[in-house]
Amino acid sequence: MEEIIKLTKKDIEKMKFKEQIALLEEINDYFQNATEENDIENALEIYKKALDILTYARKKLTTIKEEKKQIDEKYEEIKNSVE
Amino acid sequence: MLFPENNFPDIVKFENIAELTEQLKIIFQKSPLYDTQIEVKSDITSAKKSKRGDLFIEISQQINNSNYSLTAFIPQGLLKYIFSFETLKSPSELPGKKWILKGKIDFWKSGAKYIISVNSILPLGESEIEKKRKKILASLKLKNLLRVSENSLKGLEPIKKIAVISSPTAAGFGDFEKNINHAVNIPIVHLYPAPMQGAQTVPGIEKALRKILTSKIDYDVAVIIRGGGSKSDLMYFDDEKLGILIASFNKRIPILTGIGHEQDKTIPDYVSWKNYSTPTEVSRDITNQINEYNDNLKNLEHEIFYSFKIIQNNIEKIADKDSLDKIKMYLNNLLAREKEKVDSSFSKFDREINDILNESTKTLLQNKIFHTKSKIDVLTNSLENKFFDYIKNNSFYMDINIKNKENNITKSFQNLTVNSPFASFLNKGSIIKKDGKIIDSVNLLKKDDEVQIVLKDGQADSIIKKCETWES
Repeated sequence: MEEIIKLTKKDIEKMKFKEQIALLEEINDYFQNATEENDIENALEIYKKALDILTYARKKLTTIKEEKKQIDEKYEEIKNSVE
Repeated sequence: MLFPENNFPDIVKFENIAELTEQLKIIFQKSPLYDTQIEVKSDITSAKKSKRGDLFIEISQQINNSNYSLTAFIPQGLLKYIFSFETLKSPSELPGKKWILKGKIDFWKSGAKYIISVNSILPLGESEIEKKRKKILASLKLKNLLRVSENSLKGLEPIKKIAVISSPTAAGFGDFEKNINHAVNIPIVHLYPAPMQGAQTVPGIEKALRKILTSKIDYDVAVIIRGGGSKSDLMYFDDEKLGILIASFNKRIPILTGIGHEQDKTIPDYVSWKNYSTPTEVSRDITNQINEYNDNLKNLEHEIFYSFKIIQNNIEKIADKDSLDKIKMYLNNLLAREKEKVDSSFSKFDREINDILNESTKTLLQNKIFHTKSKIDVLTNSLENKFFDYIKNNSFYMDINIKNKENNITKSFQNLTVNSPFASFLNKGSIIKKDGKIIDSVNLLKKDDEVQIVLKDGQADSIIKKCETWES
């Protein structure tokens, strides 16, 4: 878990979707097997990290409108180009 | 003869198609080919049984860049004899090989088409199409370009951008689009049109692939799709150059193929990153990948929220009240902040769009307000000027008018008050009251009545000495 806590947002963003899911699964297992002695501060840090990973994983699933607009513009440009 | 020599009419009219095809059949029946046994060597590209049990065979051949195809027909009654003679078990053994077909030509009126009514079929060896395909496959194998293991879309990142190479009018593309819309997050689909049959197939696909790379759009997958068609339509896909192109393209963007029917397999299917039987299957698998990824993430999200909540509750139980409150407050604040972060990140994109829209609307509105204000200013100035002009020109008449109105009001007041019991009081006189009531006639008084005389600054008590009525 310590390695997960150390992850920066950049590290998470660079990860593949599968890797992000694997981390979330690991966090989920940790929470589900948590004992009463679990350090709350530690759990909170991990929880915060889980939220970061969820955010980036969601980004991988959707295309934001602005990005879509730019991609469509590129496509229109190439479609209309004459070879 | 239908039209005796030197006696061609200018125009031949038919009441309906049946009449025309009937005429065509008559012409055919008069030709030397009618009712004559023929023999033809050809590749069989498909063989299907009808509901009645008759067998329909498609024979095709490519000769000098042109495709020739014809339908042959074996009636149900004859089928088992022909098959037992050739020790064939099922019609699926016919396609992909070369055969000698013997029979008679017939003309079917309903479709106005010639068919071979087969009465004998003999094997001649592997079909040309199959031979060519095997040769290409062998060459691609030597170059290590054939797909050696099956890939799964689950090995790829979530699919968000798809480049489709197909004919825009092809039914296959329609099916693909329809199915892809079932994805929770509908991916971007860009069509790179290319002819999907005939000699232009390979150059068309090559051009489309080049355009995809030039676009610099990081597509997650490229898809080559084409709906069903005859074997002879699909044989243009059997091209070594196309195979090499697709195999090398896979290293940049994985290519998925869905060409033809379930039983059809062409060179692109052997070299693509993954091949499917039909365009619908391609889009179904992509949709499944997107939806599965989405569901996985959603489930994990719920589970993590839930299990963390349990941890939080457990800690709350064991902590003393003071620290419990502190922790509770800390946690709630933290959770609220983190939730806000997540929410804001999700809604950020929508807000961006709304901002753009609002900005555009605001600019439009501001322009409109400025325009309207200018118009109102001009109108106000004009009205103001008109008003002052009017005042200037009509002030004398207005003074007279006001004076007249004043006189009229005074007169009206006098008229109104003349018959009132207060009339004398209003004209600087006095009022006489008896028993608290105003006396406006001498007839209401008699000698020795006690009355009050009310003046503007006080009153005086008095006794009536004498009453006298004036003659009217």
